[in-house]
Amino acid sequence: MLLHDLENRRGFFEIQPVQYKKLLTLMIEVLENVHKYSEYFDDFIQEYPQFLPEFELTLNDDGFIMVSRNPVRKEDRKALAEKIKLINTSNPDELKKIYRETITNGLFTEKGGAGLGFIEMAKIASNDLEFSFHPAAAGYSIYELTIHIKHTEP
Amino acid sequence: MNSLIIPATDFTPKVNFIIETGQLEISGVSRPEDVAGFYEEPLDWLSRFEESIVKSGNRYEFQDMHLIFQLSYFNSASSKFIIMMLRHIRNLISHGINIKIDWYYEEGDDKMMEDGEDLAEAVELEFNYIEMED
Repeated sequence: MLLHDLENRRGFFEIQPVQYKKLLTLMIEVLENVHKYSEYFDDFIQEYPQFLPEFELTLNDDGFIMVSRNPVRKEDRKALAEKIKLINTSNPDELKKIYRETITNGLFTEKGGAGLGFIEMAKIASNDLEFSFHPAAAGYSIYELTIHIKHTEP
Repeated sequence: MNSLIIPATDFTPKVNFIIETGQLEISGVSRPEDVAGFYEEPLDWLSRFEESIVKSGNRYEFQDMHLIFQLSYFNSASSKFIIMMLRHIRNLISHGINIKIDWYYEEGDDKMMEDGEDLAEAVELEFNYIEMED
């Protein structure tokens, strides 16, 4: 539904084809990540519906800002933070090396993921992935991921 | 061994592996809900095909094979399975089968071309990059 929303508003916001493809790809990666790990927080949001996952896409003069929020278990915060920090501190060559190692290692996460999502996001956005954790309840935090996507030349 | 034909859906690509001509084509969108489940069949087909080539030599009538990727989008999970398929292709090449690999991408979609380059580099295969006009 969100993907259709983007398609429907493409004309209104005059999103160029290259930019549209970037946004679509990022949206899919971000939303698939939330969906893939949803079983870890399904019970939590039954009890605390105010912490349902959220997704925002806003437009300003510099470009688009994509934000997702979802609950994560406190014990998963460290691994998640380390994964994103590694991506953010890697230069393009290092990122390419990590990508190549990850894509060829034949390993999958316990949820069937390829472990490539954040690498893919960083490659597309060409910007650091901003993240933060906010207190929630019952051993959960809210993980917020923000991606800035600059305007591309038409 | 029979050809493998899987029609495209909104989330999964068309797969046409034609045994009679040696043409293998994957096209469309690849973001299956169950990515492992979707790629099981094409991988199994390639595995059996490779095995038959290794065991009995190239007993098929074609001399060359042609692998065509014409994907408009694939998610990161799919890329690992594409790599697995390409490993079979690399093995076939090492058994003396000529395989031409064409990677199509839409006009201006540099990201898709670079994705092809990354995949080719990861498995040390050579792709031909073909930009499709609108």
